[in-house]
Amino acid sequence: MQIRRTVVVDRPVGPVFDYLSDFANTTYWDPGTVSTTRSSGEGGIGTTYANTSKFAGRETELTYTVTEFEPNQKITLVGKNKTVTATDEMSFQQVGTGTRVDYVASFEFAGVIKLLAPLMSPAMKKLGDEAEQGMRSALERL
Amino acid sequence: MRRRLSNWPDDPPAGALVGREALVTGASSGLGKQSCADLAGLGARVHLVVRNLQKGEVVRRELLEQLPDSEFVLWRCDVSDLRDVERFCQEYAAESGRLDVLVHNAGVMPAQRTESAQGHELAMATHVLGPLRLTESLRPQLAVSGSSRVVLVTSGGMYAQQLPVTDPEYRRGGYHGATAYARSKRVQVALLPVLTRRWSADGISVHAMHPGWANTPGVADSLPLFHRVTRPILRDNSEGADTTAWLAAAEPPPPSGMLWQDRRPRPEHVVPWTKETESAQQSMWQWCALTVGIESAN
Repeated sequence: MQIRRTVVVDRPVGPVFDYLSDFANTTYWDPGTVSTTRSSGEGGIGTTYANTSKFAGRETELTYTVTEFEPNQKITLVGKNKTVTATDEMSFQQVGTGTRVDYVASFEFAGVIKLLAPLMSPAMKKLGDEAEQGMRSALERL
Repeated sequence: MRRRLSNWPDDPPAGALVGREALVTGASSGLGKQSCADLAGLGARVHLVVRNLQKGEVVRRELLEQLPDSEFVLWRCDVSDLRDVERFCQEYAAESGRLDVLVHNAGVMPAQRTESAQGHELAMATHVLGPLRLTESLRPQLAVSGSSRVVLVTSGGMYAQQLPVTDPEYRRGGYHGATAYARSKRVQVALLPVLTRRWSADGISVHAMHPGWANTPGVADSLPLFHRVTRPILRDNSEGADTTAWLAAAEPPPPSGMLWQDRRPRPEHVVPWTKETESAQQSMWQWCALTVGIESAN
């Protein structure tokens, strides 16, 4: 299952990348995140974050690891727990004086949860809408 | 037949555009030529903007034969090319101090994914980026009368498309000209609220109109099967273009920022899944503004 969103703001790519590539900031911009703290590393590849998210009324914990880090271009993180593997990919592109952020979140569920996945798509859409709005508001304040 | 309906909105007053300047892009074929005739018939001096001057000159002569007392001025500009648009606007501004009616009619439906001079997908460049740049560059001229009108000729094809905010350059998935066309038309309609706010300070109103399924060379070339099957019921150009001249000259002025067909406001969505979030609308606007290089704040 995949959520794909785009946010375009009139802010330079440098500060936009710096803000979003620090995944701890999801605490502030992503309404689906309860908290994210860095547990190891300096932000680049291999850095890990402890994330608590709220989904469909329940809290779930994930450990995220940075798997791709290209300054001002792209960051990918993979988050895991027993039931789900989440891949969060953000790519950055300069548009004139501004920046376009393409955000793709993919979820793979393990075991019987897989069978329930189609039932979750309205909740996923809501999650995506809220993340999109949250990201836009945060970036506009940069 | 529609004209005989008792509640059909009144025609614009005769001579409504006397002393006014009107500009029509894509003037050399189909609906564009008809709009030129309609606007001249209401008294406007009409500027024909075409890519090919030879074709344009043939059309200009035909229009003059039809309306010998009218004035038609021919201009060359590739609306998809932002630099050419800029060049044209400078020349227009030097020649004419004002503009009262601006009809964005130029349209393309490429068979393969094609890029404009600045590397943008051609349908988006022709229907959205170029018109935005052109209108912005002629804002001083449009502001002169304090009551000018901009008309975007859009398409009902957009009813089937979502706002392409995640892929404005159509890089993902198989390219279909008709889809590219309809997506860019969706963008035109989605930008109406922003453009309405932005331009109202200068007394410029903006309208989108759907011509209905008109029998134009554009349809015949790009959708041959659709054309063969539907030709008996397709509209002729004068029916298709009717609402454009009506929006340009009706009194009292139609309210800004709406989508029209057959002189009536129409819904922007007919199925729920094409509805975009406000954030998506904002991102689409920001992308367009940043891409054509205009200040995005209202």
